[in-house]
Amino acid sequence: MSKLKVSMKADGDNRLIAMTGIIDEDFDYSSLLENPGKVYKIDFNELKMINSTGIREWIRFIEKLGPAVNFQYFNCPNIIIQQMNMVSGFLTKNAKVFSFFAPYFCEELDEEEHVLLQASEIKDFKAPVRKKLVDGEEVEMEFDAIEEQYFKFLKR
Amino acid sequence: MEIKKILILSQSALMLLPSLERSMEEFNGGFKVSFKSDFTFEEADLVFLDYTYLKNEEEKYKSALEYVPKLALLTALVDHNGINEILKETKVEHLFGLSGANSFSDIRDFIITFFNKQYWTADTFCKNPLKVSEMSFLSSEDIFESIQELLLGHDFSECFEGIEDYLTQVLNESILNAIFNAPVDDMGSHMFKRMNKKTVIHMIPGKEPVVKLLTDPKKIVISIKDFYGTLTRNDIFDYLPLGEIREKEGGAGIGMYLIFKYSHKFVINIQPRKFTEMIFVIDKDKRFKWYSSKEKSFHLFMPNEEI
Repeated sequence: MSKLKVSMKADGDNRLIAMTGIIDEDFDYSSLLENPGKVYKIDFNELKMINSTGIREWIRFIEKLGPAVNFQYFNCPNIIIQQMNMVSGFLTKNAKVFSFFAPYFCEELDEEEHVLLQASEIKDFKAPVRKKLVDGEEVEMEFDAIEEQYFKFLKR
Repeated sequence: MEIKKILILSQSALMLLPSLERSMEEFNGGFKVSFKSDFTFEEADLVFLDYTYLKNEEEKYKSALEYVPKLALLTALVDHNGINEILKETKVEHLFGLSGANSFSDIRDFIITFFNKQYWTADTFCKNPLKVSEMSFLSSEDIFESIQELLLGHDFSECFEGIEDYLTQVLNESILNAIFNAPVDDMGSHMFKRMNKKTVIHMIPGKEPVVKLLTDPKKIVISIKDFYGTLTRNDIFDYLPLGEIREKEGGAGIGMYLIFKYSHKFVINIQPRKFTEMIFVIDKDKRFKWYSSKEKSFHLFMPNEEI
């Protein structure tokens, strides 16, 4: 059973890539190097995990395409954000996160929600306000992480 | 009966002292303890030091670091990089993240384990598990599927969403370490360490790493044991505190760093040439914020090390 499914579409100089599953030592990026583009828009929405050797393979893939290529990351899950914050070199100079999931908590419902945020919404490392309808009333959810830590990847 | 001298240079430990003294008086295990703040480092058998307190007293701090094997540092730091800096700088074998609910029992259990030259086990942290799963890894094939099987049936409803992904990563990194990095041949040379992790490795019968997962209403405890005992103190302090990909072949060199980041307690038991056991304890928390802002502890037990 394949642990990772990768799809790529070409749109002019853009390459739209969606990744589903796990990036690990088996990550084979050879097909992604064919017909290279200038901008790689990568959707991480369905990515479950990148292990340590997977991170190394990911960096190798980016290096193969060269520093002139631009990488844009979309829909990054919580665990991938954690790794970008922790592992130096994971978020290369030519890569930028455009959107990502962040944990919010609704006290009224005692429920967690992963909210999709745009990187451009984060000002001064403060989480944007998110509200939710509870019994017909709008209630504010609490950002459920330490902002300074969670948004560290935006510091570069 | 032998009296073990414990030097306390820590505000946090001092606060726990009355309960500790009472509890240790009741302990009937072949030794008694005496807690004081004015033993010298030399005469003390064990020293509890508050990290921040000593950072302000440089001379005392430097002297303390000459006694690392009997040092237990205490800190309330929650920042993972901060904790790693301490470990890198001091190479201390016991670092307690304090102020948690288990501070008192952890210190008491530690004193007993330390003086009895024993190890902490998965059962130390999960005395009445609701579920236990155990698995031996005969080869490096299908690790991901085996991890999903291990997680099956455990109750994670009191955890933040996505905890299974974190556990999968912790298990994946540590199982790969046990399979590829632990085995040595008769000459003591590593057999698979430099191999590509895609290679299918079959373990020598009787030497398969064993993984145990225990859960109770409050905790998740993972133990991974290999039967080679080749992990060294130098390896630990070289790789654990550094989140940098340095290795070009074999592992990437950040596995231990990642799993410590995702755990609240990280215990390593080593009996050289016999076994290495890594134990990770994660407190169950419904809030991601609480999970990621808890104090961390690190413990390395090598009581039978030949010097």
